[in-house]
Amino acid sequence: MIRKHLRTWSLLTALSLSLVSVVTACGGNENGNSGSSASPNSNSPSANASGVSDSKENVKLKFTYWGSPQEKKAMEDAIKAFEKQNPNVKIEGLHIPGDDFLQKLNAMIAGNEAPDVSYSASWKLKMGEEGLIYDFNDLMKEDPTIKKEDYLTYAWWNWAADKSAGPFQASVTPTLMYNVDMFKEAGVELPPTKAEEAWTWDEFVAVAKQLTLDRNGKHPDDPGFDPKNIKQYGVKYSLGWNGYMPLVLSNGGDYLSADGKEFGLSKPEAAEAIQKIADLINVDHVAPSPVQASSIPAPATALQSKKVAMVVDGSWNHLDLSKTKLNWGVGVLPILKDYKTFFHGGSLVIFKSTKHPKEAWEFSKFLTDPNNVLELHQGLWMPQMKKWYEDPALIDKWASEDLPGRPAGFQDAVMKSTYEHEVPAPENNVKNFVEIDAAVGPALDQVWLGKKTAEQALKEIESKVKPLVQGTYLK
Amino acid sequence: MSVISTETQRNIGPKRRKAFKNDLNGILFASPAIIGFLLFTLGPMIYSFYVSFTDFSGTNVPSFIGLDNYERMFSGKDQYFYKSLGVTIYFVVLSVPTAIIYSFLIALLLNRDVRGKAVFRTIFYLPSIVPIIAISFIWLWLLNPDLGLANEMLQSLGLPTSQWIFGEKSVIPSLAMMNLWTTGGTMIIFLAGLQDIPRQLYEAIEMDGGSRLAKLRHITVPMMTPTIFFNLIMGIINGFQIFSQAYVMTNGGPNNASLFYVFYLYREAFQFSRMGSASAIAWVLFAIIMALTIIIFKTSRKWVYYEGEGTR
Amino acid sequence: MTRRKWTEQTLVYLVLVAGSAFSLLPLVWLLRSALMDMGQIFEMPPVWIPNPIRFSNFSEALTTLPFGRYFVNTIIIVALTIAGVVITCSVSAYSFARMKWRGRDLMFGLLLSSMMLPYAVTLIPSFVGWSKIGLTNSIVPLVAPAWFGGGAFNIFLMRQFFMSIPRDLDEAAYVDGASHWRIFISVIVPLTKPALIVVGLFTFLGSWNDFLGPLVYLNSESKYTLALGLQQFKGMYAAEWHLMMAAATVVLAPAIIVFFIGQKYFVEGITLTGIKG
Repeated sequence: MIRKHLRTWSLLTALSLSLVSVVTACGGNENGNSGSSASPNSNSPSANASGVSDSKENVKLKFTYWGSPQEKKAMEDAIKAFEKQNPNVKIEGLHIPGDDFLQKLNAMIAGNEAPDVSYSASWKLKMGEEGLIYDFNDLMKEDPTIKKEDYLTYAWWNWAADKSAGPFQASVTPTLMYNVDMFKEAGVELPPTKAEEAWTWDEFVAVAKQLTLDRNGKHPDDPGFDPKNIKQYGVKYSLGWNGYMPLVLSNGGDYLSADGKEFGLSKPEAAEAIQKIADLINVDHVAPSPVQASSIPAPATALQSKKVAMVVDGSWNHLDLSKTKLNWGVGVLPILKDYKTFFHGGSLVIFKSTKHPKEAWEFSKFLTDPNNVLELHQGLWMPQMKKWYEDPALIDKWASEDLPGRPAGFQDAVMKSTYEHEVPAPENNVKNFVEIDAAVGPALDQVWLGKKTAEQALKEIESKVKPLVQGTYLK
Repeated sequence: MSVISTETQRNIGPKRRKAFKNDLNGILFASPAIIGFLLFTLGPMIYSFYVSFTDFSGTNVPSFIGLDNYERMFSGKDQYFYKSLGVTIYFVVLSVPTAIIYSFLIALLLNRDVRGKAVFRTIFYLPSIVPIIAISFIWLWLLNPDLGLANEMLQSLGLPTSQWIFGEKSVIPSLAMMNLWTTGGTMIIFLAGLQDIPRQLYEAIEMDGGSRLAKLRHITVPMMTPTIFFNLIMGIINGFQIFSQAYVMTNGGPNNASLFYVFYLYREAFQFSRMGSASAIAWVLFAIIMALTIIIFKTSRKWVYYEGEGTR
Repeated sequence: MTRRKWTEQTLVYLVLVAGSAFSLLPLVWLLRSALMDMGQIFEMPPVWIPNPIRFSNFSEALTTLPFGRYFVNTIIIVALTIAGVVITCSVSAYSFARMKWRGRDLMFGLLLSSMMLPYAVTLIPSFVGWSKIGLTNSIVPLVAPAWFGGGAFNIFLMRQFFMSIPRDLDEAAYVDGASHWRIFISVIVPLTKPALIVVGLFTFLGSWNDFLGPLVYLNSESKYTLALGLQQFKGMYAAEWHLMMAAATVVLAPAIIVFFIGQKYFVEGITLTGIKG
């Protein structure tokens, strides 16, 4: 009876446990798996009549990526172009919805079906530590055509001081975007485009006030101004790290202390900067609170609908802006003391499980070259190699101000200003950034809502953040 | 060695055979489910239990770390565990009873003889199959503290307005309220259950001159207890695992006030790459839900009436 | 008396109409977003009439990604799943509801417990299991569980319905010498058609909208389903919302139709009068 059942149960449990042990055994050498680089084709000789070295076998690569349909198309075009240049290589691109990318990737890895090349987010660092992906430094050593110095100084995702998961494949940066017509109507001078002429914070706030109107047409300093009934905001500031960090940096603060041992945001310089942004909402009344901001959608729409006159947010929005009929412009960010900003972006990783590291490397280089994904670099992304910021012919290709995604002043305001004042972005520089940010976000919620000062809120989480602070990767 | 007399043995014989036959039949009929469980469910469950005692990141080779994951959670080193548990329990307490009552009432309404029943029913069911982005936006609009309908109505009635999902204290009640809307499934189950109630029972009460309320109290509700029971259990199982609202609408905020348990779990697994920890978190939830379910099952004998349970 | 009935009926209608208006909002929002320029979609207060109306969103969305193929893929999976669930779930549930066997309640408890562990932690071990048998990148992992009981939710639901059927009918048949199978087929099943249809409906909707399963188990875009295709409109830095809304509308339509038809059947089809006579 019970014994009978017991026997069955134990047999089945044993079966399941053996499944468990098989799974947990480092499954690196399973053969007979599908996907990724496949079986070397034995009929390759006949397929190789292209005049290229006939010792090349047919290679199949799997490439996983995410992105909106436009990005998808660009990737597909790039794949075709690469295949044309390298006839013995076939790339199977797999487009995976970005929100759940890691789930899919983890499953693939666990099932020994890891791709060869893939888009990646910050989880790549752990993979680097675990030895799952190639160290780009090693790959570059063997390739004379490319050097670390070719890339922007801080455009690297490293998991150790000297081990890199790769350079940015797509760069973006925080920018100030604005609605030209609204400025003209209000008779306000347009934002400066040169870093040397950047507005001081007070100048910036004064301009924002001139562009903020309540329903009765009053400005914030006018008597009878009603902060509960604002029709038009002067500025919408991104409340994420890409919004407040440039200002923090310009005030001499940083995410971590200079020696990388302490939490930097709770220190006076950083807290002051963050407080100033919060004051835009609660004191100056020129920016929408998170509550109001939820009803003011994406930057492009916000500017177009004249709900806000200026937006400080990521440069990827230039793509959307270029699709509107809006008369828009870009300016340099406002500062407190010095002009400091950063690039940030994602990178491609190459899995060590690949059977064709050389071709995978070539493909990842190909994708990182703006020439091959040019359209996306004309609005959505920016390049990551220095020569694209220095050689006029190259600059013209992606930053010519004739392009719809690059308004007048772009080269000074966005390209040059970031290039010449670059520091690392916390996202790829601070160890445990994702976790620290997850603690900082909620703390700042209260600051934006005006319930606590920045100093108070950030000091409160200091003890929680302390164990997470473990220094930086790049600088 | 038997203590039973041979005579009794002879008498037990057929009974035992019958019992054995019953077992066989029962297992046979249930075999798809049993096999399914063994094949698809048991293995992964055991594996994730094992992983909860390791430092598995999702991609590395897990190594045993004993109770470390659990210790982190319960000792408070993990600053989110107790918070998310509290937040989730609060949500379940608010949303489950209200959802059941609400969908029951709607089902009653939709069970009546009204013209265009089918259309009404479909419409009421819609919010639970429309993509979450549409639902979120509508609610963001309705509950907008400055522009939204909800606050405007409250104001016109002279009542205090609320920050709704933007306030630390009001976010969970707001989400519980939103939840009412997506109870289409529960409503359908109630409808199906209502259909199962034999008409004669109602006719009998009518003949005795009973009121609408009497019908409800003495026929409808008692006959619906198996369905209510089901919806209660499912409500709890699902309520504890609520996820998308946090993921899509609030990101766990403001200030972690809507940091639902499964959202916190998901983050551990897929943003911090700590699958071992996530598994431990999952198993704690499992234990809680299991405990609650067992309690409800045990008390169900007192209030659930199965018409098909004469001999129990 | 009639007066009271009349006011009552009107009240009921009022409540229903008001409630419906409210419940229609997200669908209306979806539809109008599908016909808009991306810029207008998220404007607040919402713009209800698209200006201009962009029917091109539909053709663009449906051609940007191979929705025709996604549709076929989805139909196949859904049909196989529903068939599996309706058959195996009812049989299994009957056992838990009506038959007496040792270990029954324990097994039922175990089954229920499978719903109590968040999907996130069993997803990957499940995947690995299938991978070892080499059945990933196919629809087998998505459909097979349906043929083995169809999941604890459905079994639980059917069990409840079975348990609420009076036993006299079984007893009568039993006394006449009918086997369990006979009783199941001729007595129980006809009486629980509403529940079966409900289970079928839920299964349809669940399978139609499931994207996590296809995400994890399918490795080529040619095998993707509608639900998965919908997610493809979102990017890291930019999402094409207008296309996504158009596609979502198209994906939603069959679900609404199936529901509308299905609910008619289980709600109006069965009356129990006469059966007890």
